[in-house]
Amino acid sequence: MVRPYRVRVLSSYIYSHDEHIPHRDMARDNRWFHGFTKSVLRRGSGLADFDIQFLRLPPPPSSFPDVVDRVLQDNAHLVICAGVDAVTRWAPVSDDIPTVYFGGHPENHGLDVLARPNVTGVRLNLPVIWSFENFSIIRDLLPGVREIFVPVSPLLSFAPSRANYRAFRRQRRDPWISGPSSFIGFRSLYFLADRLGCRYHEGPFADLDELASSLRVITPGTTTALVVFNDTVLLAGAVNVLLEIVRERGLALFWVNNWPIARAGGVADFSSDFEKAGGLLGEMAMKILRDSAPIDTIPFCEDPGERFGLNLRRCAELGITVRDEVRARFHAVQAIDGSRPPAVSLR
Amino acid sequence: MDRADILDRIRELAASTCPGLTAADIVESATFNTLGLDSVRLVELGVRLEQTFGERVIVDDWIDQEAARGDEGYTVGSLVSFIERSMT
Repeated sequence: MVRPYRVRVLSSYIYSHDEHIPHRDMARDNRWFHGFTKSVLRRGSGLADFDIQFLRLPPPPSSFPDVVDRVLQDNAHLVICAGVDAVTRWAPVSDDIPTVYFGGHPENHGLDVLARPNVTGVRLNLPVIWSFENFSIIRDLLPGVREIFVPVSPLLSFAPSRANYRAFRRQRRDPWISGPSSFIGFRSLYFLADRLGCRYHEGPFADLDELASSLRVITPGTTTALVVFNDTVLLAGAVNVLLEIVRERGLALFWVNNWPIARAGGVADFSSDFEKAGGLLGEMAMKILRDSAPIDTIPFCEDPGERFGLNLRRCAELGITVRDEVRARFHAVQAIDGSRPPAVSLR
Repeated sequence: MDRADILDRIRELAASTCPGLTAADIVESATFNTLGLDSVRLVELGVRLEQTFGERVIVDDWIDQEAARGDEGYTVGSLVSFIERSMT
């Protein structure tokens, strides 16, 4: 393929530096692009060989005709989708343009993109719900935890769950769906909470007001845990509302795949190793672009690893004592004074 | 490694990142923006610098530091100073 390789990155999680939101640094701290760049350099290339542009998508389920037109007019050689919401919306647009992606598939939602002839990528595991060992870290940090709350954004890109939530809303006024209701979307999360000896509650909020009111009924302190995924990030303003109430009420917040938010006011984050995922994407990109390998010869990859972050300042605010062996489960630790020691593996 | 050595390595790595650049362009007062290194190219330069100088040099920390300086930030000289400090 002739250089420069035209690569378009599609994502709902692209922010400008003047947006005052903690997850503005997602790309930096997720580090997938660092991993991608390292991988490309390791293979004797460099970004000078690429014409790479980042295109922000509107929140799902919106279509994005302007972005599609641009990708097609640019005659892109490769599309990289950062996040499952991006690839599930992009994949139906083109069967021709090779597409690689990384993202998590809770309950296998969206995994049908793999049937597309032009798509491959890296599955991320949503580490906190991938194993009971990981999920149990919540109890290691909060020995008295009795209830797990999971808010779910209206912009969750998985239609079956959205339909299920609408059905619940038609019947009930409660902000939270409590297990074992059949209206629960994340069954595996319910089972994990149940095994941990906790009651499970899932809260599909419709807007920021509903998010705020549903959070305000949660008992403050360390007998409850709030576990949040990045679908909440997709609703403008939701993260700031959530962090404000978490601080105001003294709630123990855990995030999945978003260390910048956990650092801003959560107890901990459970992320995939985005740098390694980016490295795999770089390897795939070079095979497709430089070596002209057909995309259907490039195997889909499993999650390459985990990186957990612990916010000791927030732990101190909530009176959480972190035992050494629990702290050792985390790769990045924000100290009580707010400083960030170099991110090194403590395992 | 003294300041001049660090500047030489930055020149070499910046030229690899952005092939149109010459050593004469890369002076301490120049900003990376005026040299044509956008945020994407800065990631590549950062990776190359970290590979060259080792894990004590965390280029993201320099980027954070320079972001606070607004238009006056991201000079070659400030990067040299940052690496110098990080190495000692």
